[in-house]
This record gives sequence, structure tokens and C-alpha cells, in this order.
Amino acid sequence: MSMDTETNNRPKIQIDDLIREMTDEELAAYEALQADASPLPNTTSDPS
Amino acid sequence: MTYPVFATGDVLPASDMNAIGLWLVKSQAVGSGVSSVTVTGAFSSSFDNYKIVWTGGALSTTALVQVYMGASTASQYYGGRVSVNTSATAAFAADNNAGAWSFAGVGNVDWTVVSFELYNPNRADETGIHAQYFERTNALGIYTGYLANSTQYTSFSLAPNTGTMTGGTIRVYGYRN
Repeated sequence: MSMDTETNNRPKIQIDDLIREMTDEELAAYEALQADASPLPNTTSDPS
Repeated sequence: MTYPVFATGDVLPASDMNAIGLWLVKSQAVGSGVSSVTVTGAFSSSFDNYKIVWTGGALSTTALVQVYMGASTASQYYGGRVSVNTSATAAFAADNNAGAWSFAGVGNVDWTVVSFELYNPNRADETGIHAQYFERTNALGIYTGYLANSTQYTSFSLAPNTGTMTGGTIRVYGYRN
């Protein structure tokens, strides 16, 4: 029996054709990755 | 040297077929509003090096598209990027023992192109990456890096650093050995 907490607000993970909510473990790894992510590149308006 | 041009009904010589340099290994459609996509069965001993392209989709917001090997993040990802915008302002950044390669691509809500090569993903050796990314006027650049382990991978994952991915197709091509 799954011990994961399921909600409708969890990020979805896709593995091949299967799409489902992240498990607790996947969510923890995903949040750690996002927290460590590099910033967006520099942005400016189109000069043209 | 002349190259073969095939027509319907032609016999396909082994010498010609074995000279085909790029082979479509896997094609994976991206669903709606997913935070990451893992493509399994992408790498094998058949090819040492691969080209991966995701087009036709979009991100929920302007974001980086990160790449990591397998289905879960770890560490030991190293890399560096150089980018410039259309005002010729340059920017630099690096991944130093990070959980993923950060700059496989950059996209927005209208248009996203992710295009990169992987070297040795299924060999017992470090995996290398070379990516080029395009976010219209804001971020045009290249990224190269490596993963400091000797794991033999069969899958990889894409994940925006914020928001979600929708649509388009991820295609994996093997470069003939």
C-alpha cells in the first residue's frame, strides 16, 4: 500500500507515456533541484 | 564520392544502410503541465554518442531546461555556459558539483527549443554534454559539461527550473559508431 500523500497540487512527473503526481521522494529531490538551480540568463528588451 | 538516393522498391545494400550516420532511437511526446519528463530506453551499447532535441512544445513561464541522467537528481554535474542577448550583453555561469546540467535549454510560453548532445552516456565513463540554447532575444548561448561518475545510463530527464513543460516531442538520435 502506498504511503505517499497524494494531493491535486503536487507537481506532475512524466515517465515515458505515464504521467502522475510525484511521490514524496521524487518531490523532495525535485524541490532540492529547483532550490539549487542557476538563475535565468540576463534579459533585455528586443532592440529592434 | 556519390551517395545513394533510394526509391520505392529499391534493394537496400547493407553497405549503404550501415553507412547511415544518425538513427532515431526514441520519440517521446511531452504531456501537459508536467514538471519533468524522463525518457527511458534512450541509451544502449549500440551507440556511444547521441543527439537529443525537444521542439514543438512550450514552458509555462520563461525558464531554464535542466538535464540529468536517469530518473533522479544527484550531484557531480559540472559545466559552464556562455550566453549573449541581442543587445550583445554577455553572461556567464557554471554548475559546480550540481544536481543537474542547468542550461540544456531555455524557453518561454511561446517557443522552446532544447538541443544537446550526450557523449558516452551508456559507457562506463564520464558522460559529457554539449548544448546550444535559444530564448529569442534574451539568451543565446552554449553550454558544455560533464558528469563525474562512470555510471552506464539508459535514460535521461528534462525539467524546467521553474514551472512546467507542455507538448512537443523529444527525439533521441544515435550517432553510428
